[in-house]
Amino acid sequence: MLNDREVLSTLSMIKNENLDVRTVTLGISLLDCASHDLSRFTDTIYKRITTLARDLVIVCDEVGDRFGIPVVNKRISVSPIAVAAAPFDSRGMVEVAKTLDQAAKDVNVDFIGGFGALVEKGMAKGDLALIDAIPEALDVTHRMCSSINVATTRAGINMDAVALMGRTIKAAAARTADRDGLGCAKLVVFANIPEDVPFMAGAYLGVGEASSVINVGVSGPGVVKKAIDRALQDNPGAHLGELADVIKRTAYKVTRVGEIIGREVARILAVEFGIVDLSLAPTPNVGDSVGEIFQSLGLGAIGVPGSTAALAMLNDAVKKGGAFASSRVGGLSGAFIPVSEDLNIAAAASAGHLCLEKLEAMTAVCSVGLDMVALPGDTTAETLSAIIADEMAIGMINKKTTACRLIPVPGKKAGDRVHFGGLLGEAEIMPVRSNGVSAGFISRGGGIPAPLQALIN
Amino acid sequence: MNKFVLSVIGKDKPGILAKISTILFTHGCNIEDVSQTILQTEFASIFIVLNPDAHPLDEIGRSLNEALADMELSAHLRPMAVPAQVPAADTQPFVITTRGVDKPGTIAAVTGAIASLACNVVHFRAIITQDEGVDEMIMIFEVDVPAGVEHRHLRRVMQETCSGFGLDVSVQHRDIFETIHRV
Repeated sequence: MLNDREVLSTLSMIKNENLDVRTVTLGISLLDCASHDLSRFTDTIYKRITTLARDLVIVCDEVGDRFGIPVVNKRISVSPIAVAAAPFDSRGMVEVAKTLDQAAKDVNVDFIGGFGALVEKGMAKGDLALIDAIPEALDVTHRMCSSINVATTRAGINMDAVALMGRTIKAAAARTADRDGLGCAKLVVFANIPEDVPFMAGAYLGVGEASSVINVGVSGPGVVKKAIDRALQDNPGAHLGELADVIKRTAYKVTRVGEIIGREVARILAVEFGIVDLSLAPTPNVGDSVGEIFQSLGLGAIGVPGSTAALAMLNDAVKKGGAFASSRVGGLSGAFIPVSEDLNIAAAASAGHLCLEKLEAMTAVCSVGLDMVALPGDTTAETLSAIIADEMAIGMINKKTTACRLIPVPGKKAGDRVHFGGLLGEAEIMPVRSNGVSAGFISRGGGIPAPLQALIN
Repeated sequence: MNKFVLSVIGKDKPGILAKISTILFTHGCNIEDVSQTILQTEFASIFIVLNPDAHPLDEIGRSLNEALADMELSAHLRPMAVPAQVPAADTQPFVITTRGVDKPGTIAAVTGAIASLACNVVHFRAIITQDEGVDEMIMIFEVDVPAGVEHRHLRRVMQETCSGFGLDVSVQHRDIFETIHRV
């Protein structure tokens, strides 16, 4: 027999605290679809995706409905297209992008990820063709996302790729200037990209993965905030160790939801269950914010002094609770701080509490990086590359994933507002200090060597 | 095998179970299964009792009621037919929760809707709470839903019934509650 508390607290988490499963992502390998013939390749991948994902949305809705937990997004990740479509030039890559987009539309998922390349050590012909195609591909598609891994702890940072990505981001912004550079909101540059990320825009299916797999991204910042608020109501003198424990226990519950739904969807689709990504993913809705957690912990806003320490505690507690709750953990696993996707973080940036440099410092202890950061349109390609290089260095040295999703909004300056719509949200453009003075460093190219794995202080 | 069902209800106080079990023991009976609960001040229990020596039930009942009368309790006994082994029904466990202002007829309507779909209530709990000065009733039904009843249909029927009483209703598979709260 269930007890009253178990039933009522579950209902409260769902109805009042925005507990949901943020994404169920079906990973599909396209490596065996490789062909020198473009139309044959696009036909094959279209059939592969639409066959395997035909029932994804229906099954996710059915399972979510049965458990009373909304599955907010259903998505697809595919093998890195730079590998699967290596023989094609950039025009061919754009056709592949259109095929992915059409397949996503036809099976009614909101995003498909994997238009990407792994270039941490060097760029092959397919990689160059894909990166060259990114601006046009993001312009002519609606549901397709792109990610490029330019650094790893073992290989170092490919600074040629970093320089190229700065230019690519500028070009993608220019091609989607009429939509405030929206193309860049679907483009991420990574260090140490995991092979099983279910979240967009970084989702892709690694080459070491099974032919199809279900990965789940859980959410629940609202649940964590309310749990902290309740703990402080019961015990106003609670110290941070006690609050970390509250976060840990709450993360356990949130992760269990993802685990049961992911396993059930995988069972019905007869697909292997992959991982649960233990991330606190916000949405631009009140009560579904990572930033609000900082205020519950006693900080005036995210970004003020103390924020890095608070984020370190939050991120670690989420992992500890989640790791116990799931049999297989992976992906990014931590707290996301995407500026425009979180009302509270966007407001903290507007109020001057959160600047680009503080955001960068915080990314040293959280799961992703400079995520959904709108920048002035006149930010140079070299400065974008330099910001990326800094972020990649944090990931490389700390053996963690970091990423940049930067949007230099054409024609807009610091302080202007930008609206991306939907889950991508809105924000004020952050100022970039010392724009245009990093070109000498970036233009040197080459690579920053991999760090020592000893003498690590 | 000789079995009977015993129910005991009345004012709750210490020593009830000790007294009942002692009397059953003196009649050579063995308690096989028991469930008890306390609602506000009232004790209620049900026992399944093995009666290997086939003591007459009226004799056991008389002993129990004489001993329990001073404690403001009454006992009722009924012979139990031991059924042949029947296969377990193909059902799925769901939890139906309603929340809203307490009105006469609510429980009858909600349980009627559940029964209309041949769903069996295995646990039911009603809690009265205060919400901004108004009595609010939360009802939690754990029900076994036959395999032929689609959960969306169950939810639709419950929503139609509950909306007439101004109740919020949710219908969820039981596993989600255990998964979230139990290690």
